Amino acid sequence: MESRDDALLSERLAALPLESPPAAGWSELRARLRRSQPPRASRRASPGWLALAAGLVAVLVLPQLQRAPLPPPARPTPQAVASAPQLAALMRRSQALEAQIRALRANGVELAEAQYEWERAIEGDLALIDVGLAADGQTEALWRERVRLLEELRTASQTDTGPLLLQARLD
Amino acid sequence: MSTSSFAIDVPELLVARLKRRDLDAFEQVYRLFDRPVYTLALRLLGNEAEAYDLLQDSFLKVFEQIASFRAEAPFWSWLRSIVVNAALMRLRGRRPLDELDAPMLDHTADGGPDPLAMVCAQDLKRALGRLPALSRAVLWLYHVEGYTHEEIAQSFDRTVSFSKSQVARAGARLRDLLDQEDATWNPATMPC
Repeated sequence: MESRDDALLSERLAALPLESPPAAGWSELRARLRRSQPPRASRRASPGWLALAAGLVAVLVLPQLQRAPLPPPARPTPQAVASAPQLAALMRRSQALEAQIRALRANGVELAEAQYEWERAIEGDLALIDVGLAADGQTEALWRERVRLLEELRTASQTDTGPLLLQARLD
Repeated sequence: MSTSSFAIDVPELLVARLKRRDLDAFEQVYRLFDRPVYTLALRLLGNEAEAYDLLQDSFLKVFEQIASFRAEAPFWSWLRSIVVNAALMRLRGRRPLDELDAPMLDHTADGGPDPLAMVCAQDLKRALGRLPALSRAVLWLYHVEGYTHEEIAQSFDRTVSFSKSQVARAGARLRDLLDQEDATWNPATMPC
């Protein structure tokens, strides 16, 4: 058992104020992180299909997004379901997530501006994925990304951390 | 019980973005943890330049190894173990690595007041900085980070008795140093 002396020592040491590192810490680290980034393209570094999709979205999809709470859901074709169990699982997951998000939004709670912006940013990315899926509905990578974005959107719809996380998404 | 300043919950979504090597997410995590990491590094190493190096190296390691992080333990505890291991590796590289090897007198034996009762942060930091590096590291891990003697023994590749004796000796030495500070305290030269 901890003695009273030990407890006092723990208390005094823990009460010491935190020290601050040099202010340039993050910018130096960021430069080192960028140098150590693997050469593969990041999600934001737009692979070829995404650039193409982005062009199409600008013309076809964005006007609808201003009103639509969710982009039109991508639907699996029976052929795809039959041909690839992994793909079918992703499609089912995608549909289930859409249903959950709709249920979360059904209560009609008014969103804070930051929360709204966060959700809209995710929906924009979802729309790009859906354009890619419209061209080829059996690309597993696209379905995987769609599920990931829907999971993020579900978190956005049920979390209070919106402003914090939105900032990183928009920066 | 741990009183660690590391115990900050990181949202699952933020961890997921770290795993995608999202630099914005890294910035958020850096800003959440830069002070706890730097403080721990400074307490263990006792040197600002080395502590800053360790801060940078630890976050680079997070970046490189984030894929191996499993959410069985909280993110902060994983990060802290990276920092502690890296700090101990640096300490092991120091020759000679000082530790307290003589039993210290128990300050309570003479019935005097405990110098910790009225100590101010500056005096305590100064006294802490005068402890041998190894003893200071053991003392900090035990009293602040909540490591058990078994965990300390494992981390330092020593015995449980080593941990117990270092905690006891470092605590006694710290009080001794504070007593000395008290005796020579001069408000003009050593503001508290």
